[in-house]
Amino acid sequence: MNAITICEMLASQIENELVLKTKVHSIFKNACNLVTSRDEFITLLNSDRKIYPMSVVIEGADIDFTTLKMVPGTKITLGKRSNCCEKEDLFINVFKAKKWNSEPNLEFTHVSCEQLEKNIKSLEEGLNLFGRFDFTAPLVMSLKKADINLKCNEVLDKKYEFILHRFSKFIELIIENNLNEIPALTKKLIGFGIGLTPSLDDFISGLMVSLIYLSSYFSYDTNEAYILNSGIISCGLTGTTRVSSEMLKFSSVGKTSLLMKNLILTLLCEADHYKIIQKVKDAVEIGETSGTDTILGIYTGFKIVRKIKFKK
Amino acid sequence: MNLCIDIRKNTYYDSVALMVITKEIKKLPYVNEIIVGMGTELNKELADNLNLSNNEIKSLTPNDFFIAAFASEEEDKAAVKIVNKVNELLNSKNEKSDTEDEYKPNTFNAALKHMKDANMAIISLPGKYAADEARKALKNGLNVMLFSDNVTLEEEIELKMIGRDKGLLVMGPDCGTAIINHVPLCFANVVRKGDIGIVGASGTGTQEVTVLIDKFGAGISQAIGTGGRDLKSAVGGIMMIEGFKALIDDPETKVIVLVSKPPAPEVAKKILDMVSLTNKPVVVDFIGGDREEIESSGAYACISLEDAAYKAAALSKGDTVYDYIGFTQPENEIDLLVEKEMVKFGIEQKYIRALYTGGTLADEAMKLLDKEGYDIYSNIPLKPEFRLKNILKSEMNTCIDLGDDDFTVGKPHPMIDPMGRVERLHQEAEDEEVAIILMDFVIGYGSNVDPAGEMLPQIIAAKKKMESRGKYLCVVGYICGTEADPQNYKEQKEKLEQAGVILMPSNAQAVRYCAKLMKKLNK
Repeated sequence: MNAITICEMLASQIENELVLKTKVHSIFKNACNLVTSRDEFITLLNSDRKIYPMSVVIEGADIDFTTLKMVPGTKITLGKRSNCCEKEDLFINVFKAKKWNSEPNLEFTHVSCEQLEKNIKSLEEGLNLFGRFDFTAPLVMSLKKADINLKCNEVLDKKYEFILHRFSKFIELIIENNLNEIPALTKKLIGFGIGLTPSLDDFISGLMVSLIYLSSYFSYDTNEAYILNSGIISCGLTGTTRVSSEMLKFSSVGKTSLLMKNLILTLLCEADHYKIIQKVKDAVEIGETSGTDTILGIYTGFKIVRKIKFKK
Repeated sequence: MNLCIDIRKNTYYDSVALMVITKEIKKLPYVNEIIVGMGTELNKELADNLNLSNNEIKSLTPNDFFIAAFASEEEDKAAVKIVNKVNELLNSKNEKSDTEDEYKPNTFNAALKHMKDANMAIISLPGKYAADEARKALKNGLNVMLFSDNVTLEEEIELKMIGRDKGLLVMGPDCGTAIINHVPLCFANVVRKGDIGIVGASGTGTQEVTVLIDKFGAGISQAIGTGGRDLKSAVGGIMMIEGFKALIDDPETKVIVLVSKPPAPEVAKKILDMVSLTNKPVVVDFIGGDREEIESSGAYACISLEDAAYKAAALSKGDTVYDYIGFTQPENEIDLLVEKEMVKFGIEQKYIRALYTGGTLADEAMKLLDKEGYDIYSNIPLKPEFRLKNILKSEMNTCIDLGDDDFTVGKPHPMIDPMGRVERLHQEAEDEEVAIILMDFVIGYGSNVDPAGEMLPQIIAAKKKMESRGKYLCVVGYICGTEADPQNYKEQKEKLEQAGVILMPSNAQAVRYCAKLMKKLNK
């Protein structure tokens, strides 16, 4: 198999080690997770639209990974020369793959604060139009001090109500930049929801990435956002799925999927209502509700960032 | 209750599959509560809160998949049945199943991915975003039904030109009704299959014609919508012409009906030129259009939507074609019914207030009453001098289209939510000079589940209010729908008749009946 696009940090790892030996961890229609001998996660994708940190896009659009001869444990080698691997291994040639930089792009020319407010309204409109609201939206709507303008008919199921107080407290602690209490409370939120990246993990991921970009927009000390994010994830990573835990680690340093990165940069840098709507529409297509939940995290970040007690 | 647990260590499913499993297992009659997910700390806590936990659940890791459900003790081997159902769902997820039909994608791309063999996209988004989705659909080779309004004229022209070049339909914008390959789309009725094809620029106009064709014992091959602006000069009737061509070429279609408000003259000419070139009989109802011009092309001109339906059905069945201008009931019975009502009115009562949910039905009512010599005030008047000064307040004889933008900005259409009409009826009953209330009840797909039931309390209250003042309120109604429609036509009819509503079998007949009453009242 040939790779067409590869995350730059993964490419440099292959450059250094020549080959990367992995085993299949889990297989889905549009993605296949691999795990390296150092217990790192790599994801194979079938479309470069959805590329994200530590992933590789395989040539041939619409490959269905479930139809390939792979099972959990199958050995897959990534490299530039196929003779580096053992015969029985599947080989992915990354030689011609173009590189994609997953690092946050913080050197942007941003729009005015007035325009940013308009862009947030566009984001709200996009979410209201295309968002697949599940239980994260009612949680976000319950945030009284965040001026949330979502139109969601979903009502939080009674069985999920126990999370409501924790959620609002979590946002309060973020606003207070309270690093003493954030880790323990976040531990009680991470891993909540159905799926491989539980809904609240997606939300927290979006929130953390937005804080990195927004601290740069408002010329706050970006390190403060990094510190806050490391506090958020410091205790909860073992309580969630492996895939989600990797996602949260990347998000805490501002690394996210191309679609989310594009959305955030459009919000911060462009005065184009339709473009924002288009970016929201693209991003909500991630997973079942993952895209929407992550955007809800980004949205909440945009709504609360000016209240967070960062050093200016 | 039995706790049923299924654990799959180091097993991963995508979230779509997990959502489907949750929904489907919940539907099982013996399942009371269920959690499906990965064994994260929070999911385990949730299981514990719901008493769906045990030591096995407590020992799960976040990479273990689990299902925990409460099942009725009476159900034999519930746990085995649940596991079998889960396996069945997981194995069938690549095949088309009922479960998949319930999946509601939130973007066009997601929808297309979900249903790769789709050939029609129905787009109902705020107008400013709808054109983009329509373009995408056309690019992917799908016909388009654009329910949205507020799409710019330029976008409409562009989309229709793309559609024409690709041989695809672009029905709309603002297209509310179509029946394609016998499938009713948006606001449409369940009608008999047959050999009459319709191209309609008017939603309720098309509904009325299809419903009445069904009542006359004939059936529909296709009903193609175009959207209301299609026959204006700027658009040039692109979709009316394309739809017309398609029906001319369609071997299943024997008779063609064209329904619209009078087109721009050059567009009318193009269409009528086509009429003269086809061998298929064509019935043209350019509502209020020039009869002579239509007939000179060889088409059958119409005096009402009912007349269009009658003529099409007659042509389909090989019957004699004539103008359908009367009543289904014998005229003397209708006159008797008029007399019976007349004795109940008070002296000052003389006006009609027509409260329509269907725009074309309202338009038709005004045209028929205009022919009888009545000036009708409206929010969509036939003549500018009869525009209501305040659309919220009726004047003398008034006909209101409650589905017009005047009443629907930010609100559901009255065919979906009749609350606006309920309030308006209350208001009309306050006016002691009002004698007649005329209303349509449009049923079928897309419409309210019980339009008659929604209006009923207010009809009864309005009649009582008039009665308490020594007056009488005559309520005349028409149900636009068929017995095969999901609302239960018979029940709707019974409800209205029990409340004293005089029901007529078509909009035109309901209006004609009102005209007879008005004639007597104004003597």
